[in-house]
Amino acid sequence: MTTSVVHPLAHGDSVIHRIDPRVRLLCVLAASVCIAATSRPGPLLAACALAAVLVLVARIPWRPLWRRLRVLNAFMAIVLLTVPFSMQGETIWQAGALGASREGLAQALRIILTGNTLVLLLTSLVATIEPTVLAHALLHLRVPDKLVRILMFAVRYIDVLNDSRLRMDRAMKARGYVARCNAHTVRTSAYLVACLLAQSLDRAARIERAMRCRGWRGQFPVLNHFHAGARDVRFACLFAGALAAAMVMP
Amino acid sequence: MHISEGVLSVPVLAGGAMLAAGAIAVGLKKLPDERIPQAGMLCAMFFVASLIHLPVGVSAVHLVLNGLCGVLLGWAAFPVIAVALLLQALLFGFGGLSVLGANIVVMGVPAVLCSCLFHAGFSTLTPHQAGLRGALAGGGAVALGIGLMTLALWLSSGTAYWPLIGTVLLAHLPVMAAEAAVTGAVVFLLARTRPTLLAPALT
Repeated sequence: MTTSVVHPLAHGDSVIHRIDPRVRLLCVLAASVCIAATSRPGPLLAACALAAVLVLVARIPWRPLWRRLRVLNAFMAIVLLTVPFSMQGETIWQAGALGASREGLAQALRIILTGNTLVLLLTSLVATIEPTVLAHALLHLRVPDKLVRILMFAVRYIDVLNDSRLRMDRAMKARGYVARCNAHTVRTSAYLVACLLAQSLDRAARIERAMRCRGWRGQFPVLNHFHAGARDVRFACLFAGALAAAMVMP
Repeated sequence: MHISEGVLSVPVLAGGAMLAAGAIAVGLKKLPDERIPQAGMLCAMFFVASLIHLPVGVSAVHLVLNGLCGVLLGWAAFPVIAVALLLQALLFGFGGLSVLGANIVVMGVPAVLCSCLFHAGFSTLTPHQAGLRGALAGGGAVALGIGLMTLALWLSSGTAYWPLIGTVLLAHLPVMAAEAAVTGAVVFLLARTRPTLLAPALT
């Protein structure tokens, strides 16, 4: 009955899933910087191909992948419809008073390619890390431990709170509630949020007391230790090579 | 209210990341250890609240609630928003890693500003007045967020993005109205039933 929001893609078993999460995170960070800084079409196309290959290797199911790309490309459609017409340059297409410029079209395509490449990379390499493992990987990468603790609590309780939201939602529907564009809907949603808020803060207070009584000293024991082996080094080298090759494309 | 990957220029991305890192550091410093479970829980709460959709005309908007986040958490809203945005990027593909910093600034700065304004002389307010302030904080946080988003897009490419910015603005007007109404009602209900929750923010 309950559906988990928290790890839709982390349960696969591909070559990518077995690579050290720290290595994958660092690879994505490096690639993001390189890709965001490039504006030439050749490297961008090559990087996009690399990201697509990684998505295939990670065996990401089509449905969640499609959902992510749809969210992104709804925005990209607006970019494609506005940027060519607002950028100065050589006119290639005239529609009444509006002219689309070659430079504008190139810029729009560049944005679309960059955005899709980065989302594909994030999906294949980082979304495939179990969130709790990701938290440990971040700790090992020296992200402040308070921030990681917030992440751990959030990951732990998102599904709990979402179940509670769905339960209230079913109760509301059973009593004939239909969301419409009116004040009643706004008030009902607001009271739903207030209920969730009160529940979550009460629960937080109980958790805090329970943790104290078990000797909490403000530090999670770090249970996951990672050991980068030959396979991880091979992956990092391969990735760095492919990225470098992509970046020097004409 | 996410800026997508690929739109912003490198200096804006870098500036956003640095500002976000600084603000998160301040937020963490002001967040005492014993309130971390609460912050994590609120982070989960805001993540879940963003799954609630309100129908507006032919489409629907989802709740953002960064104004409410600021009202409840003060400066600690920064780390909480950072974690929520990271999770949204990972689980749904909204935004991404390279724009994470910029997105944190766009959502977090209005949250903290609204919290300062909201809590000025708060103790003497009636629940209705508190609700009105909550509505201002909720709508104002979105308005300010759109302002910052516009600034980021403008810094990235100057005038070439104006029509894009206009479309983004238009798309966010219903979000602003929904946020103001919902935040106002939430604050009103909290002021009546749980006034203590509204009092302590880490300003």
